[in-house]
Amino acid sequence: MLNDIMLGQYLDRDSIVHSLDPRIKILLVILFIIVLFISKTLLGYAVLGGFIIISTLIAKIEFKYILKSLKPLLFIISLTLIIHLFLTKGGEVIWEWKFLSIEEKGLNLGLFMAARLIFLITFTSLLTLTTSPLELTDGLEKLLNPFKRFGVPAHELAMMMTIALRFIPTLLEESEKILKAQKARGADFESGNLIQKAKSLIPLLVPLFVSAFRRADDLALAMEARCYRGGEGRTRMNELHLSRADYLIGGATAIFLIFVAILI
Amino acid sequence: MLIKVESVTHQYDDMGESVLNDINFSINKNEFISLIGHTGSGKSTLVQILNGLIKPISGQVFLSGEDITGKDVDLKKVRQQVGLVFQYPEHQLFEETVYQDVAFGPKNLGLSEETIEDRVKDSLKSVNLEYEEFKDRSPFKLSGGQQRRVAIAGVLAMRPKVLILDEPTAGLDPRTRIELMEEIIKFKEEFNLTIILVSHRMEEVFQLADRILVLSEGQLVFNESPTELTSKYHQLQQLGLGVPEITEVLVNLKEKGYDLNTNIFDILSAKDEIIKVLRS
Amino acid sequence: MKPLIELNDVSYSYNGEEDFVLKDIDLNIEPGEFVAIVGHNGSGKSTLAKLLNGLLLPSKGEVKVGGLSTTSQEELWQIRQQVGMVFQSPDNQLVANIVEEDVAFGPENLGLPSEEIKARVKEALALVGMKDFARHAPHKLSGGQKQRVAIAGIIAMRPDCLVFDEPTAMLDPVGRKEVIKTVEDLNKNEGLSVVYITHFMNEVVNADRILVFEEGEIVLSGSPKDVFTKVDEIKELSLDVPQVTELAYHLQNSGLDIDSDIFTVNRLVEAICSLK
Repeated sequence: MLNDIMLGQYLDRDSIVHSLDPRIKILLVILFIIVLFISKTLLGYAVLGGFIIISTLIAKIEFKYILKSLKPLLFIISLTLIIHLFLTKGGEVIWEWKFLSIEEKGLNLGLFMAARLIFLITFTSLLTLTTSPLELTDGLEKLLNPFKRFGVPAHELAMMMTIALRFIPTLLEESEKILKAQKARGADFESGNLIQKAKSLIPLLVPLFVSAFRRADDLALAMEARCYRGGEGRTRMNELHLSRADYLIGGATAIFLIFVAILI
Repeated sequence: MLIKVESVTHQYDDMGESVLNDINFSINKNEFISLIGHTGSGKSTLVQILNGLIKPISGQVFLSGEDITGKDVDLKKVRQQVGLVFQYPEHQLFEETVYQDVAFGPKNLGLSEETIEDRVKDSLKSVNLEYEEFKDRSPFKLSGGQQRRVAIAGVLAMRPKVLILDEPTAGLDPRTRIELMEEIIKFKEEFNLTIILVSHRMEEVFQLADRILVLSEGQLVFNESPTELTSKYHQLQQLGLGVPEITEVLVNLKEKGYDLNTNIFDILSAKDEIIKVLRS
Repeated sequence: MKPLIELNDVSYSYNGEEDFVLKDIDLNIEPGEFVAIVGHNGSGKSTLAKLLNGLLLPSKGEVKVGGLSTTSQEELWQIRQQVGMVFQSPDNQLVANIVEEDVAFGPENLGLPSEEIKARVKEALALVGMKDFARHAPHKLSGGQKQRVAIAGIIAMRPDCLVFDEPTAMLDPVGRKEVIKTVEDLNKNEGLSVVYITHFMNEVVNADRILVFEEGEIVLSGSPKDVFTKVDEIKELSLDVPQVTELAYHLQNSGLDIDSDIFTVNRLVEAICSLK
């Protein structure tokens, strides 16, 4: 579990998709989502579905990882499908049993909504599967930079993400340790009703907060000692560079997606 | 026999190899046991198995004759009887006052208010914290050494039969370390405790322990008295462990042909022994 | 040679009142020198460390690094680049979730060009023996390895002096040895000045100079030989002397002809054997 959070779900492969600049990838995902919501035809969805499959193949990502990303949201997808199946009425009656019925419109809409969710999740997870959290952070910082003048703290947000990624595993380990220490003192985290359970978390949460603050203090001091003074004047070891390939692939894909949205 | 460990093996799911491999030993009442070994040798897994925080994948642990790895074990009772003080135990403090924090364990045992108060008083006293002075203070505003004492008192207040201390002096300055070790020796007598001390400090281990358990890569390689272990000095060194420096001096002298007693773990006796041999 | 760091009559108080944790400290640290500072918690030694690179500013007196006073805001960043600091907790001083990114953090703050940063990161990781771990995640490393990464992060800023604030307090004996060896190598081979703060006397037997702090004052100072021979005074302060040194001291006091500056088992054994 620690590893999942650590690396997001990043899979290190040697592919064109992996080497694409994170900014291009983020922008393409946003464009894809817009197109997904504009597109209304079966053909459009078929093309988008094909697009996801081809992208996955190019990225050298096994389909099982894509399917795995759907797992946590399976419930919501099924719920969407079921609600539309039974509650949206109109068109021919396809199936009937006592008071339940499925009508044509419900089936269509249900399948559409489910497909929309599935496409949304799979394409976004393709981004996190092919881009390390570090690249994502850098990409976001660069993309947000132009909005600095409107008060968007681009550098600070990126720094916070970096530090969060660094400390989440540490704090998880720590919470496990505190949990055990309190159990050794006879604490009971399992039984009781909801309120009792919530209350029993205090012996875990208080030390965890205290420790997080202590770590934050230490880290701030260490960062200051290492000459950190915000984003101004700071350079990066791995600067993001948009190459010709980035522009070409990004442009071509964008044109394709816009074409799908308008024509199909 | 208070604790009996029988062919205990354990491994964590995400790792292929065992962290503990067929461990067998027993501990008698009132013994002072030391557990030594490198980080990753399986020490911390073993001590957590002893108080039921981890269930080994095979093997049994008997506490006063009762198998605590079985199905219908009252884990609360096991944890009351085998107190475990983790490394840096002050990180688990959470209550508003020292009194409440020390009382947390006894409260979980469902004891009466008076009994709890008595226990808090006794426990604070045995770690040299004045009850009236400290009971209402916030544990977070104490010094590092005092916080550690409060945390230890919190485990003592459960009145365990066995107390496991995982590197209780780690990170303390020498003065506080010496004081705390003296307190441990004192409260062992006071509460009639059996102690299992995990430590990296050989001079401490050899001076205090009745018996030393040496873990290496999940195996229990030695289970002997300090005296017996001293004679296995070379094997210990191969494991990257050792004997106290002064004992090492005596062992080396003996190997060079001096006829002296190597079972000495404190400085002044070592001095006397060397002088005796040189003058004879 | 001009001293690298000068402390002139430095006093420090956290609450701005008469409650001084450091009292009138006069101290020079020379280029290439290995200075060890030993004392209990609350003796003022960590406060001293933070004064050396302007993380704290003296209440009285002056701290100068390479002739620059730490009170001048403009020169503060140059001072922090010159005097790097490694802290106690291996977990709380690493910023990034990949080793090489963390080592790059300092040089990035200095605004160096990307190629220069890459070269420095590589070099720094090699110097602490961690170059095979460049792409690892810090939380998977041992304590000793984390501390070495932290040291690399400081070296990559090319400082003149390294200040270590109890770098081994939270490590096991293996990690402790790794860190001490790294520190000694950097001092000897790279000529870096080292200020090494610790509770453990036996870590600093190879220092050029040992200062013992107690209640904000320097109560003992000198070469390891000078300091360790004052076993009674050190014991009085409840500090540790290496066991062999103490044994040698007692043997000497009992009339044996044994040097008092013995820090290792082998030397004591040799000394005793040569008595025949």
